[in-house]
Amino acid sequence: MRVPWFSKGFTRSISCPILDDQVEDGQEIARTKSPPPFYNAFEFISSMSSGFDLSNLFENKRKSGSLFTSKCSGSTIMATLETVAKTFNFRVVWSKGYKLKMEGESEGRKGKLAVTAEVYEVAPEVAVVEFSKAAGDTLEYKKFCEEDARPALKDIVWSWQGENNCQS
Amino acid sequence: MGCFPSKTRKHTPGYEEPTVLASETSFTVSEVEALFQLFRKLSSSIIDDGLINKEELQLALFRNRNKKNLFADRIFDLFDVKRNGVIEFGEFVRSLSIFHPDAPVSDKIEFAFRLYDLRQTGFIERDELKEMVVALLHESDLILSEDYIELIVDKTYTDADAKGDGRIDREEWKEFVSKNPSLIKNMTLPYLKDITLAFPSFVLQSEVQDFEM
Repeated sequence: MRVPWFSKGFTRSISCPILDDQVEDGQEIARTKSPPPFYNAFEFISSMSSGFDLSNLFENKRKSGSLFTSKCSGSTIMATLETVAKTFNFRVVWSKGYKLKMEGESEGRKGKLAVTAEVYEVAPEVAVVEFSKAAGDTLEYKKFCEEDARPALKDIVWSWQGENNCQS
Repeated sequence: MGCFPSKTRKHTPGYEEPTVLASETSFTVSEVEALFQLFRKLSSSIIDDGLINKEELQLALFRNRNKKNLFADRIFDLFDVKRNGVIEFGEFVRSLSIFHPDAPVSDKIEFAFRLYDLRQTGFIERDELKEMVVALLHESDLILSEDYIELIVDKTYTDADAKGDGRIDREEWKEFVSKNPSLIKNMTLPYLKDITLAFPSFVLQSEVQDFEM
């Protein structure tokens, strides 16, 4: 039985908009056997909280998040990430369990941009996805996260790190 | 050194000389001078008094002076070493030193422990952890059922409370961090290594300017 979710002031769908059984993935069977690795409460707090993020003292504009929460299953998230990679002409270099690495096709300013994504579980149906740059130019990485990945992932994103913190 | 005799320079309480601070922290003298530029910017944002008050910290972290936040409160309380309700320059530099990439990891582990020990009992109690999870969800504008919050706290506690006595002590925390080093990633600010580029300080300029109250 699914626990109903709701977010203050927003109407979000009750469950993951992408039905899990619509996802076809070779690793599906392997993933359903075990959930994503546990993301403990301290990890969750230190990654998601803007109050603990002192880099804000140094930045002039709001930092783009490289971490988001999702209500979807780990398998759905992984499949969606792989789709996003293909959409933006990124080759999935490897994908194992709940971690994948994608590499851009074209050479950027500092070589090909490579991005890793890892899925963790905070609680059943509460996942955290962390992006990090594996290779390439930082500005290109930020641009990819903000302009390409972010809109493409909106169906599975519950909340981005650092968002909603300007409301009092 | 300097163009003015030191007795004509008035500094706000808590100001310490860059040379002194550099000798006692992970920063070089020019890094401390650069931090002074940052400090001036932050401490004058609401009240131009050379001190960072709670609202000025909230403004700097959230771009919203009225944003109340448990985690920012903890940061403020730990930086305000003298507990006089304001962060002075010396306190600012000494506290930020712990976030320097070259600062000892043991200092970072200790600072993180004190951050999470909300009521400073010397232990991270279960209800403190729960309070923080609830605060985080509130900050992110998310609502989770009580059951799920309990689940998250329980599972974390099982991992961290090795002795099973219902609270996390310093020893257990150190052990937990050594198994999960990413737990203290927010305790390192790479920016601090390039601070002189972000806030160029001109030695003569900072010595010449009076910090007037």
